[in-house]
Amino acid sequence: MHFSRTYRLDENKGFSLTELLIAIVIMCAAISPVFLAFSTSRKTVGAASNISRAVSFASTYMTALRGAEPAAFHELGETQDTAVPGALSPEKLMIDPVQAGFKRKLTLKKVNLSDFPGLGIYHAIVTVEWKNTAGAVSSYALEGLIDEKR
Amino acid sequence: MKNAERKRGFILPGALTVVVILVILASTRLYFSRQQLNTAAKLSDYERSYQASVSGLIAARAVLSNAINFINDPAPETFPKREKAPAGIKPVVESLLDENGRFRAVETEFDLATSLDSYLKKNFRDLENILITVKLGRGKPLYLETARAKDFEVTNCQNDGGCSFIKADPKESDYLLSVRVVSAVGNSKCAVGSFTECRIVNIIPPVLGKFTLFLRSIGSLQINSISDTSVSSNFKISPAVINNGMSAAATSGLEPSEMRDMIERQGWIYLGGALRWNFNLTYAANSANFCEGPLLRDFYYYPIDADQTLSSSASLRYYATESPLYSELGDISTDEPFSLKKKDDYSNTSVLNLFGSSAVLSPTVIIGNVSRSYALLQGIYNSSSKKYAPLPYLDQAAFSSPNWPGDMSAATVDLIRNNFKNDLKNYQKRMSDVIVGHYNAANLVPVDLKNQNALKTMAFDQQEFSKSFPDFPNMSRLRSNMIPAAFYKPLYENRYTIFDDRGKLLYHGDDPARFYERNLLSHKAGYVFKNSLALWKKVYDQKKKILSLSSIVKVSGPLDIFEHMSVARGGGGIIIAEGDIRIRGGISAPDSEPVTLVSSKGDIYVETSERVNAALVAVSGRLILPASFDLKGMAAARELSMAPGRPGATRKLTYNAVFDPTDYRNYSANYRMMIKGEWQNFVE
Repeated sequence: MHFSRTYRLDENKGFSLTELLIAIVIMCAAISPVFLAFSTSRKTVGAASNISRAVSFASTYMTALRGAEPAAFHELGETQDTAVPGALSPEKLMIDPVQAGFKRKLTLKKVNLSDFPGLGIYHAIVTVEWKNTAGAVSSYALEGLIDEKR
Repeated sequence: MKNAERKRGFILPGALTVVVILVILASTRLYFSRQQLNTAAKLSDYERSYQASVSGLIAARAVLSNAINFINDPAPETFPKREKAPAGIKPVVESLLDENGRFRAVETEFDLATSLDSYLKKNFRDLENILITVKLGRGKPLYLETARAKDFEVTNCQNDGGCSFIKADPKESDYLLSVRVVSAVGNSKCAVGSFTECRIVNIIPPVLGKFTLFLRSIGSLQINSISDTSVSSNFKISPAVINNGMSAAATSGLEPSEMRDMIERQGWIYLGGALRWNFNLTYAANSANFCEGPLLRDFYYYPIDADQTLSSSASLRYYATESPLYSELGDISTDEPFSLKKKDDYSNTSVLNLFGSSAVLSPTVIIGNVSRSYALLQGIYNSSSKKYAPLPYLDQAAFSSPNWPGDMSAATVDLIRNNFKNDLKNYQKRMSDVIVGHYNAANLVPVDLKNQNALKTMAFDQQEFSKSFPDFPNMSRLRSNMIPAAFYKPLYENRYTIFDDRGKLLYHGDDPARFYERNLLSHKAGYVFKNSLALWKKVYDQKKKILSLSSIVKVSGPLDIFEHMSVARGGGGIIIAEGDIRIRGGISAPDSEPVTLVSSKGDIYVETSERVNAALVAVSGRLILPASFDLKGMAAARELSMAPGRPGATRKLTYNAVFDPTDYRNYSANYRMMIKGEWQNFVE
């Protein structure tokens, strides 16, 4: 048994140099685009994740705004959510702040239409901004109407 | 050897395998990450299209709300609705109402095209399209063709074929109102919908709204409990004054047809029960605001018959005048015309002036066993000395005695007795007396009777009067036992029939309040609240103190009007409380805005002296009024209870014609469309 095994080991031993070199060349040629693909994929996933988060942050705020005290609404220029005063602030609306790396802003414009006096409808724009991996600022804006007389 | 060679070169295939695996992994990961990105991008578009669609719903509801508020507004300047609708909601109003201004009975569907949805298209970034469709589902009548109809259409049929019913209004229906919005952002489309049940009802109290005062029984009300007097300082209690709508001076000289037309439009009075309601007309120290008005208080003069001895004197005539009652009619200060009558017959007067006061005479027709008592003061007038000598009330013994009341000498007594041929019956035609007659005869007071004998025949002989004036026009809105009612005759029959001014039958029966006891109004209620607080939370703006009903609502329990409330235009409606209603603050409402408070099982307590612009209905309970009150609307109750009023206190019930269901135009203006429940949303 012992001899037989030795014999087999002897049979497997020794790659040819050529074989090794070819393998290394192939590996090197293939690994680079594969890693590039992995890297791109990672960035894509990151971007998708960021968009999803931004949508979630914006949507959560918009939904919470629709349930806010009707009397709290007033015109508001683009303001970072942490600086939104009173009952419209995320804290008062009991929603989580955005994650690090994201900024959420609110703009409220009263809809004034001459043939609907005293309408009481606000045009809300919730914008979420973040920096992408290239360092550029991306943003997502969600718009909706809110009826203060609901 | 062959095997060894083959095995020696496995590193290359191994490397290739690893590479292939890595490539597959990388490609897969890349593919899925791309998909993830696409999904995220799609999600972001979808979220925006969803928010745009929800905004479309909000816009649609706002437009519908504006349109419904406009349709609900009873102000005359808003009619006809389709023409007068503001530009913003005109297409919606035109879609909801037919050419006659009524809610469409058939299903209707239309795309919303207003500046509000245009705003969405213009101002929402990347919104490619938005389509808002409104649908008003086919109406289901509340009463017609339903089991409930049997409760209110035909009940209490008698052997004589007479039935009691309140005609159901086919326009009172339930509808399904729905909105569907489809919007597109990028490659994402989102369709959302919202629906709610809405109800169209008329907020005028059926039938009872025609009455200024509707009381089903006397109950414990002490009708004649004011100790009346001609001396202001002795006048301690004020009566309550009822104004039935329009007024007329006692000396108006109206044509009979004018008087009939006026009474058709007035708030009527119903005083039910088997017991007779007798009202001693109030003198109230001759205060214009409390003294009764429907009397011929001018002096009427009649020549002395040629066969009577006093006719020899050219300066003597008989006179007659009517007066409310007061205790001094038994005193020497008035020459004691009633000193031989029982004091109770003339010294106590009623706590209710049914026809207003002498300052504002407000006649109407009274249904029920109701009479009035007043003084007919008669005597002899000397035109030379301008003195009046009343002929006192006498019975046979007093007539025969030499001592007559009024400080007359025996010679004068003899003279007068001889004038009447020593016959009491002759004397009685010219003596002073308390007249008890049915109340509706008072409606003749403002009429130009063109006959000096009218007073006499009115007072003593109604049949004779009817013969003298056979051509008085009958009423068109009221029938008594199927016969058109005469506004100056008693109306105390088994059954009454009420029509509107276009001749449409509204009611037939003996007591319309019975239908209220059978929850006629409760079936119309669109909302039910567990208590008063829950109601106020929904319909009352506590900061602005504005009440907005625009519907019929019900409270399962008592209702507390805890402070002064104002009702805005279009905010009228009916609140039905199952318990007592306590009114601690006034209610302000425009005259064109009907607000009705109904206690279906309890009493209504008015605990404020502020003006209450509302109809108060407690057909199973009491209406309890304080010493000072000012009601404008109408009142209906099983019984009335009033605290004694201070002299000069405001104690008035004024009819508001906005409650009149017999005025077709007014009734038509008071349909309200109410959204019954919360909007139910869904995403397709």
